Amino acid sequence: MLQPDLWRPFPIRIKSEHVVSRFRNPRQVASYVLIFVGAVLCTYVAATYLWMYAQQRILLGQWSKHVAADPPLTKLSIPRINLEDVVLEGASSHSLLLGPAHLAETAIPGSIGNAVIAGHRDTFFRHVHSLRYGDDIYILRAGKLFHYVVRARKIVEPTNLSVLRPTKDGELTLITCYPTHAIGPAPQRLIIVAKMVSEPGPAPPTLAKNVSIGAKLP
Amino acid sequence: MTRAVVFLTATLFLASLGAVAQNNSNPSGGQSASAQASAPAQNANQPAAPPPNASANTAPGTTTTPQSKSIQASTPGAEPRTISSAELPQTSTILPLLGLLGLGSLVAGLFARR
Repeated sequence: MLQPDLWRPFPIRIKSEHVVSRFRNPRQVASYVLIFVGAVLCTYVAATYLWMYAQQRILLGQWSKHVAADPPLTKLSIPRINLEDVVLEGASSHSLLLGPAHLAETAIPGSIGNAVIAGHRDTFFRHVHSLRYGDDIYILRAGKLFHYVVRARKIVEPTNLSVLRPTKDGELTLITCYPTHAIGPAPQRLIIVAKMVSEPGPAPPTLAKNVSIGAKLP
Repeated sequence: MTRAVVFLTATLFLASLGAVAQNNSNPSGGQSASAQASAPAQNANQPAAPPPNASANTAPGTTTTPQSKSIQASTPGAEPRTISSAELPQTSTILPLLGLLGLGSLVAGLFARR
């Protein structure tokens, strides 16, 4: 015959009381909430950065396969800052997440006129601020290589649309947010203006196969 | 152990929800990255001047649809065109801020738990 003490659910009662007492403590509850929120935010940010990186890798793979295809993809390359990314069309927030984005209202990169490319200061254009006068910028498009040289660097207000004006010669304008290392909304924009310095020539075969650009260009 | 698994699952689920929400907020209607990347050629008949070489990607003569708060810019020898935005594109994200908040929250939570 069972003794009453043997079947009484002591452990369960102790455990539930323990849990209840833990959640009655506001400090414990706050700590759980903080850890949960922190973990969600960190996971979200890390996943977003990984997603951007993966999408850009996919684009680079497609670029190497469709160098001479129609419609052609455009690749921006800046050896000084080791930037080598496929340019997306339209500077929507989604495009800017995936890579540098060409403003659709401006000239096509590699053509005569002012081609404007924008990029996030904390991802693809995070080192653009270190570009100086005379640095090389390359545009690869439809199997052709377009060479630009940095000629100006300025900081403007976001409402200053004069940087988008068309020009008579080949020009490339890079836009990113300023201050570069600030966190949060940016009050200004950093503008890099580069001029096309030579007639476009065929891209070297090594470039057409998506090989590192910095070592191969003249 | 079970609580850790539940916590991890919930975290991943919420982060996935955020990513999906961000992806769905794409104004281009879910257009893929490759489609967006190849779009410049579709816009090739925008009024950019022809390139120096013969392989022109552009066909001057058309203009973009005028919109409110647009500026008219013209170049000698080029068709007038409009730039349809009131501001330069926003090129900063809140991701660094979110990451910093997340790290701060994690550290604060771990300290509060001790």
